[in-house]
Amino acid sequence: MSIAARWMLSCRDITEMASDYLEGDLGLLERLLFRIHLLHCRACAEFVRQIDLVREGMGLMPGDELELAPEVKESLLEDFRRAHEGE
Amino acid sequence: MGLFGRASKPSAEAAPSMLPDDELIPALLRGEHAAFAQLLDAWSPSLKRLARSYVRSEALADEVVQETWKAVITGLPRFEGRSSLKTWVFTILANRARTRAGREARTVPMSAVGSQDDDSPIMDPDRFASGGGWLRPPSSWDVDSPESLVLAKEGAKVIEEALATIPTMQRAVVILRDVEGVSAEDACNLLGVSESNQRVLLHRGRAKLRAALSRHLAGAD
Repeated sequence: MSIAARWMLSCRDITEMASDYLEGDLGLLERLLFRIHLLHCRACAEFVRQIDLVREGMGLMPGDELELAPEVKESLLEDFRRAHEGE
Repeated sequence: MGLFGRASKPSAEAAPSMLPDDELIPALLRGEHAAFAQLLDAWSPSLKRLARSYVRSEALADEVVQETWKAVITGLPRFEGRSSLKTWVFTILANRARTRAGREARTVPMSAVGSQDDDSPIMDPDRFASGGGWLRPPSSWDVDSPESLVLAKEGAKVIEEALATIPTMQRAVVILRDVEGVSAEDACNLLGVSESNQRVLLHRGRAKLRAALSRHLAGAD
């Protein structure tokens, strides 16, 4: 095995490390090896891009169907008002 | 998108108009209605998502969310600001949901509560050659931004459905970290998991959502 091959990350490694990479949790060397792999491997670049899309997309999730029922919201606002009048 | 390497993610995109804690907390303590209403709107959806990861019925999840808000109203004057307001609120919810789930578990024969994560690899091992290179690489997505992922082709619905099927703790971590932008440290404290466990849970959860989206967008993972 060449020295280069020993340091290389496999595609399987990339799939396991993708979030650590995206979160900035990899060490300097691992991060460098990760980037080098992505430059040469389109499949892994796409995999990491998809994980990143999921990660970013989750923060944009609409919550409309999970909102409080209007009557529940009203009653909570009423509780809030009462808590402050009571002081 | 380059090499997608960013140290941290810009959080709270979902609620751009939210006041920072140092303005929000005094406003709440003064009894400002609008501030509390804003909080209810901004956080209730994820509180419900998180409640659902512990309790089984929709009705019970709704109840836990409502109880949490009541506890927030009474507890607010004693809030010490040792964590962010958001972390405090989500911690109240997690504790209540766990208690409820415990009670429920006694009446429900087989409970998914506390189900830990599998140790299985992120991708099916059959998809790699013995050296770890792809035999069956992931399908590519015709999606160029997170916005288009969520807004187009029912992406949000697929995510929401997939979220409901992944293991409890993975779901909780994904909701806190990615949906709500809670810090890794806060997420660990809130859920009572170690830092390394949190990282594993987050990645496994994301990978399962990715696979579900792939089946939806590309017809196959």
